[in-house]
Amino acid sequence: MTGGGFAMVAELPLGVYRGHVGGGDLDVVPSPARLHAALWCAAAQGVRAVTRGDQLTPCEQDLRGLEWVEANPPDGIRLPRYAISAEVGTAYRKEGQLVREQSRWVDKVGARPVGAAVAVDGPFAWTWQVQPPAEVRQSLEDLCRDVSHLGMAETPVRLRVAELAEVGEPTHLRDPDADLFTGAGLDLDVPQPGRGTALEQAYRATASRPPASKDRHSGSEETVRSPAVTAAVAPARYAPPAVEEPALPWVSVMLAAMDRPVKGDWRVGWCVAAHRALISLVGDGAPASLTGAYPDGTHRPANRVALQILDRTVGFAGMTDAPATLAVLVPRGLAATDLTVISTALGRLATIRRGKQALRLVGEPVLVPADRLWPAVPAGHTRRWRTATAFVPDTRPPRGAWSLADAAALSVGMVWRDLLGARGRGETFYRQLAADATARGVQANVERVTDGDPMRFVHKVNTGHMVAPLRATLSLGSLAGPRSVVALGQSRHLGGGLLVPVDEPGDVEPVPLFAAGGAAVRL
Amino acid sequence: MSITYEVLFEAASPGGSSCLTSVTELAPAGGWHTSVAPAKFAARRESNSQAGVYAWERRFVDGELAHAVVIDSKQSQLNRAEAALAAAVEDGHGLLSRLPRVTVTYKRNGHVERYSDLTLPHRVFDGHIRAGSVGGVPTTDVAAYRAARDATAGNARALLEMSPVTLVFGGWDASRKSAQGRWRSALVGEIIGVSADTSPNRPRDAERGGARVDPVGMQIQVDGPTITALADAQKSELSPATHARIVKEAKSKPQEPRSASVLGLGGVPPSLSQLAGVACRRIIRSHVLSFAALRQMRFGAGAEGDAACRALLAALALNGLVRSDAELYLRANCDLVEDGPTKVTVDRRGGQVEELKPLSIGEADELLAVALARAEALADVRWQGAVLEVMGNPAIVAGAEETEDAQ
Repeated sequence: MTGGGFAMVAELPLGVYRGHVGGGDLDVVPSPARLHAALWCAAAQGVRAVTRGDQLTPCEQDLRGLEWVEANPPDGIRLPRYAISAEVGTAYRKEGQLVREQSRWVDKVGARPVGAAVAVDGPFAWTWQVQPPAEVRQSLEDLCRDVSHLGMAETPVRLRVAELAEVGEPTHLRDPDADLFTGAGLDLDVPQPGRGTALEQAYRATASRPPASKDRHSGSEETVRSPAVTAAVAPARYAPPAVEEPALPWVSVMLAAMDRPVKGDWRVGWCVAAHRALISLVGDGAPASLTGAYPDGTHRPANRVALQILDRTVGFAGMTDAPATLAVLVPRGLAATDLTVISTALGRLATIRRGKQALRLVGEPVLVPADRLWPAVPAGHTRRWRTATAFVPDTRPPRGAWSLADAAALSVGMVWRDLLGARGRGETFYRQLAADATARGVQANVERVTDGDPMRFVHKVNTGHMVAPLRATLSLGSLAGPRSVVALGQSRHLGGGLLVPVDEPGDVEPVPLFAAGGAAVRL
Repeated sequence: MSITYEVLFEAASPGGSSCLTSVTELAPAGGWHTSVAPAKFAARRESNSQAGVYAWERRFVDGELAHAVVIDSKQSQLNRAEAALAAAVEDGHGLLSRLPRVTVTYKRNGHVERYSDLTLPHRVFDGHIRAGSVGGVPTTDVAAYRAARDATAGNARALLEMSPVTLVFGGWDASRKSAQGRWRSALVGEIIGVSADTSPNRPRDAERGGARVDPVGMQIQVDGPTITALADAQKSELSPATHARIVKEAKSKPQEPRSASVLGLGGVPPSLSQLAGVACRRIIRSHVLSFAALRQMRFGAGAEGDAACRALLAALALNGLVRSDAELYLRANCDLVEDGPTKVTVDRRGGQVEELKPLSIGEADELLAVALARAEALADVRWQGAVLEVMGNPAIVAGAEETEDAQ
């Protein structure tokens, strides 16, 4: 037995995987159970099979190999880059059955969906951290060559055994303790001990030859399908290796390109429209992390899913040629089920309508980490932040001394309040939160927005509350890294208060133009 | 290295290659500035499109994700290989005429129509064969046919000597209550077109206009008695149902003028109602012949004899493939040419790949002849042409006429 792990690698010569699960849904990743079934088929029907009675059956060596796979599901799976194509149409094909319909003979025509497939840019691999016994490995090596397809006949395959080191790290690891009702990852069927026996028994149960009288053509003939064999198979969770979330309010960003630019002043309005459209696509039971409607008595987190619009004035990770990009900010600690629901809705969102205007989303959404959205700080520069869209302070100014800079610090503090462990309400709390932010290096130059309708920067206003939007240039001190995405203010979840980087040369020290006495300084 | 019989025999034996792949770059015959007409499918029910849709898919081409359209599907490519073999049989090709097959004969309106497992959609398990008779005996009662239906992976000899195309191109005895024959196609392939449009969005299917100009008049209106007389004069050209419908409608408000377009008179104004072609920057034809699939068949001839039988099937598959690859007119507005040599490879142990010289039709015939001779010698295979001649059930073709009328 050699050290290190091993893998079974499936190359798809046609670059496409087509398979179905359940009620005909597209299978995206061939499961370990499907791999085992393909190996079993090769063992039971291929050149290595032996005859028992009048039937072929796996030889003893292959039986031991297959039983090893049943007792040892893969520890990991390595997925290639893949892209899913949805069903686009229907192919009508004769089914080779002649039936009588209303006293006429009809050549039955069936409908098959067309287009649904998974394109791959490399092989699938199932990985094990340990080597099997030598004879098991040999049997699997020999069996792999006799596996002809995975899934449908349109997916011929070249299957082989390889060393784990050659294949590379798995993209997904099996979590034996996973709760299959929560969390994210791939839920794939794995074979259990006895799976091969169950497959063989199911095959034999339908192998008896019918008598001639039952074999004749009938005007009511129809396709007879064997039921799926569900014995000795169980779901297992394969999840990407856990990555520690950065200590940021938002941890990742989903980006979807748009077909038209959006003026800064109108971004809140368009984000409100996009928000409405996403909720509509999710349907009943849309999560509070998206809607913002938390039940009374539940903890309302500092941040939830936020929608922002990025333009091309500052480059960002994932930027395309599109004139604008819808950014969906994923908050720290978002439940995996919420993320799945929201990302699925984003994938389906094609058009955002606002009155008589419409914006189309183009291309495929992408995901980037929130701590690396913005480009790196150029050498010799220091980075500050400016509000791309004005922000509206989270609260009314408390009584007493309170500056615009304090309001900005409070807004920063409100975004970070969960990470700072701050809880409370009222003026004392707000002053403390602003002070905490300032203590961590938050500094702001703030000015009021005096032009145009202030209402364009909010999505809703409490009665009697005056809307006083602000623009700011600020430092975030130790709270955020230089590439992190942050938004401030009441409307930070709906297009307001997005901070974009401003880089200033750090190697130049400005001096007063006029020295004491009024003479101009010579450089 | 050439594709020799030894290559096929080795691949068909234990430990042999998994598959042979054949890839050819194609191009539109009119040049890259012209579009091609891909395979068309019915639109999904929720779409109101009458024009149909193309099958767009995402594919990785040279590592880049691209939009690709299916120009010819797997089903269609297999049908073309079968059609090429059938044409050779029809032409009396000396070797391919020996291909075992099942024929079905119908007599309809004084004409004889002949089909075979090479041309019927479900090959040897097709309903036209099962519903017919041989010498007055239902086909399904004929011992040789039952033996073919009873063939298994453990012994597929009966199918090898009745319908080898079913073993190569696949078949499923789907309506049988039990012991269904399930044979995956050992050969699979497709032609895809990589869209010339590299923008992130999936290209929209463009539409083209259609119109018919009638130089006599774009609108020809006649009254009831006139259209009845016209229909009567053309009665032999019309289906009974169509003639009856025209006459019945003519009786309603007979003096009122109505369009004679139902008789092909008058023009059709232009409208965008059909799909236009697709501009491609690459067109790729790919096939895979799975030796692993063939190795899951035995023929009761011992290890060496079984390998010879599998090599014979591989040679048959390659013969059909080479013949169909030579014909690159796929459909109207889809004339293609080869844009480079065909690259043929087989996998070897340890992830190695060996390149082979592609076959010409003549070389494929020679290979098949050698394979057949070896199968005869090592496995006592007998290929002597049509094995079963089925007389189709006449009630079925009568039903087919009624169905066309109803449409």
